Amino acid sequence: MTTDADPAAAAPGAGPADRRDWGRYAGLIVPPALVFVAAVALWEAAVEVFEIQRFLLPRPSEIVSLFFEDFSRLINQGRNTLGVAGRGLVLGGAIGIGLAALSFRTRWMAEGLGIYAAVLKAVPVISLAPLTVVWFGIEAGSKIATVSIATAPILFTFTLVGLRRADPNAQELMRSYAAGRLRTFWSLHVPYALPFFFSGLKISVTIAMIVAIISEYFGGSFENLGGYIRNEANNVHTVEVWTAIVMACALGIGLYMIVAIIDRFVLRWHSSKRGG
Amino acid sequence: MSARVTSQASPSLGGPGRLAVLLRSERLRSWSARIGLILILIALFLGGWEFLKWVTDSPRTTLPHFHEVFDYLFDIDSQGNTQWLAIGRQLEVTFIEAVTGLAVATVAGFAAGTLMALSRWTGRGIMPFVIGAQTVPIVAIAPALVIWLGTGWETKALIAGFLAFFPIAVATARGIGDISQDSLDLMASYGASPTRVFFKLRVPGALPYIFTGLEVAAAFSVIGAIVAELPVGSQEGIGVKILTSQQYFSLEPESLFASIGGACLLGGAMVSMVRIVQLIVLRGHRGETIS
Amino acid sequence: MTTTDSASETPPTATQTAIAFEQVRKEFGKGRDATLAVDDVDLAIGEREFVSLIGPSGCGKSTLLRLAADLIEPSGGSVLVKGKSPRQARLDRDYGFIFQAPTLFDWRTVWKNVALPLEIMRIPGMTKQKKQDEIERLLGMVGLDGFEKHRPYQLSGGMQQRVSLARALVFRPSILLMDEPFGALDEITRDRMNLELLRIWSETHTTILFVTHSIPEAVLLSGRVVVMTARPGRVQSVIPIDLPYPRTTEVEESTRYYELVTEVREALGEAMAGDA
Repeated sequence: MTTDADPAAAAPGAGPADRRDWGRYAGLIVPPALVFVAAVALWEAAVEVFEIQRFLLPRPSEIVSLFFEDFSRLINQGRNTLGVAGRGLVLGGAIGIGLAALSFRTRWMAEGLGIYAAVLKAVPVISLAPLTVVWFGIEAGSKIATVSIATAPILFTFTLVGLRRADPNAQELMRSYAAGRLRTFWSLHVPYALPFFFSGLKISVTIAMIVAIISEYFGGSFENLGGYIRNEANNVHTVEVWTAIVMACALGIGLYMIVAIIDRFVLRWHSSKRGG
Repeated sequence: MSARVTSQASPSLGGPGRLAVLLRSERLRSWSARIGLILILIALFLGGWEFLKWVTDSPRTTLPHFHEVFDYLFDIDSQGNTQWLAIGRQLEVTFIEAVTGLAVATVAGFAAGTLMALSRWTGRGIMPFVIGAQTVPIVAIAPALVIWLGTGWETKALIAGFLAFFPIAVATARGIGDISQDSLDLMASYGASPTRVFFKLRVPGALPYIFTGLEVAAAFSVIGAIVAELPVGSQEGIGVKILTSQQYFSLEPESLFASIGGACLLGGAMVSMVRIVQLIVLRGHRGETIS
Repeated sequence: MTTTDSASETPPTATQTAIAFEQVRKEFGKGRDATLAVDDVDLAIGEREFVSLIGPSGCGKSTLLRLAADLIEPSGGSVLVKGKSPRQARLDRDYGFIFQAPTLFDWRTVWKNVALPLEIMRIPGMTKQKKQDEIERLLGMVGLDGFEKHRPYQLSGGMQQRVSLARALVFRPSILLMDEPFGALDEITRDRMNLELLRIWSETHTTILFVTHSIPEAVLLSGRVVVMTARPGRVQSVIPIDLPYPRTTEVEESTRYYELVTEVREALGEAMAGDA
């Protein structure tokens, strides 16, 4: 809408004013907070009114108090699970991103790997958990392998789509500068792929967490969230199970938020374009 | 993923007739090329399997030959059935759980997504939980639900549906909400009622998004069903079969491989089903989705 | 097919040939699906000349530009840029290419966008200070002082195209290849950009090959206008524009200008008639 004559139209301060920013944050935080409080209250009331038995659904207040009582144990178990999820994610990411970077220029290779990735995404990865146990042992190794099998195809697909999305004109521009492949890759393809990579990463972190817990559930040490859940669930210690759920959710959401914040920070140019 | 990159654009050459011929021949070529590629990929997979077995010198109890697993399918079990039939029966159970869950999740997810997109405050209030709920370890909830609702297939369908719900809800919310202001203004200029706008503009516009969500949901529904079968007390389903095969692994490793293969096929079948429906429903749409 | 002027005739101001097309033919596709985009093109562009290519869509004017830039290769005939193969000319960074879309990198500031070719080319003797001065000078030349730290999406379309122009000039190529650079701008902005381009052309002593579909634009800017036919693209006629440089908006009110516009329009009409 700006004619060229009016640089003021494009002058700095295009971002929203600080005061409005606060309003926006409040708008983002207040409604979910209200929903959360209402849901917890409803839950507590339902347990009271319908006299639901403890082993079926414990009260939130009971879960919270046990959560803090057991906090040091839970955080320890959470750290072990987080370690498995993190290592699996790094391994899966290295494989997925590496293959995407190697194949994105070669159509048949990208297509072939894409089919493998599509199959892996359709496959119920957790059913592979018993096999990874056979191959990599009952402890962390097998769980890390399962997590990377689950996350590699996701990161591969997103990264590949991003790398291939680079503006054809910009590719020609780089060619006109006689820029080398590596140069073009870093200066052009990588920035194009970053937003896609982060979208994939946001999905992958939560999946990594869940898959880590499920594969821990399949056996091995009890000193992690999945093992703890298996043990307590078998003894119908429902409150204990719920404290582990709370810890798992907190860690999952925390991981997601860290990625989301990095995404925001790294891709300011991108999100400001989207957000307008 | 759909990697349908248009061939290097030769700037608007040839009449429409010629273009049609070109498209048709190219599509045919790409289909035959695709089938060829898939055959090569299967061969590579099997070759890789056998190569891995040879290189690591794995015994049968770590990695059997592929043909040993294949032969196992035709063995007779204690009830006098062939193994593939036994595995097939378990798959059928899991399939029904997953499909039912997916169907329920589709309806519920579409409704929730629509609500989130159209009511700003509902959307803002619920969206973080929709994302947060995906971090809930389903294995932890499943046992409680099984105690509560019994070990019947309905419980497992519910858990499958729970997992499938979120991708559909998120995709619907995004699709229904992501309509250009110009299109909305155009509908307004026709004096279209909100219902009309919804069915003529928002829903068709959201379909590609929804199908992307459905594909993920289809895979999740199988995962949900299998996980729901894991807690003690379950008797049926491929998840149970995998667990029992794991227990007898050292005696009969082929059983675990065959069961896992069956589960993978089921996942593939569910996703393919959604893809086929998508191909039919979205015939006219441009084929670009990120999955 | 009428020829108002032979293509081989020496252009008015030229001393040497900057770009030479000889018997150039370009086919896209293979076998039965092949389409002839450009056929039998002979054209010589002198050094420091401003030549426009104009014609109906699909006449291959962009194809010619891309052939000169070594973004595509001819199927027959030869293209010489400064007496070298286009590939060598590209490796020697002899030309700057400007697209219809500004093709700026969103993740870079205006300053860093202009600096991009220098980062890639590592021109000997280009010190940090020299680089600094050069970018400053160019941003001044295209009227963008004070916008160094802006991101592309904060600028209007016209300003973005100015950045693109500065970026093309920063490594001092002797040739500018411009593919409908102002085609996406509104009329008012376009007029301003045309006059600025003329000024920059005279200041920088570059050769410009300019693709457009605007007759007034072609007449206002060029020393010669090359009219092309479509399917296949051939040179229909070459019309010398004998309006004196430097040209200003007043030129657009002269009778001679109108005569030339009419001449080009008629030639273009014939080119289109041949197509039908």
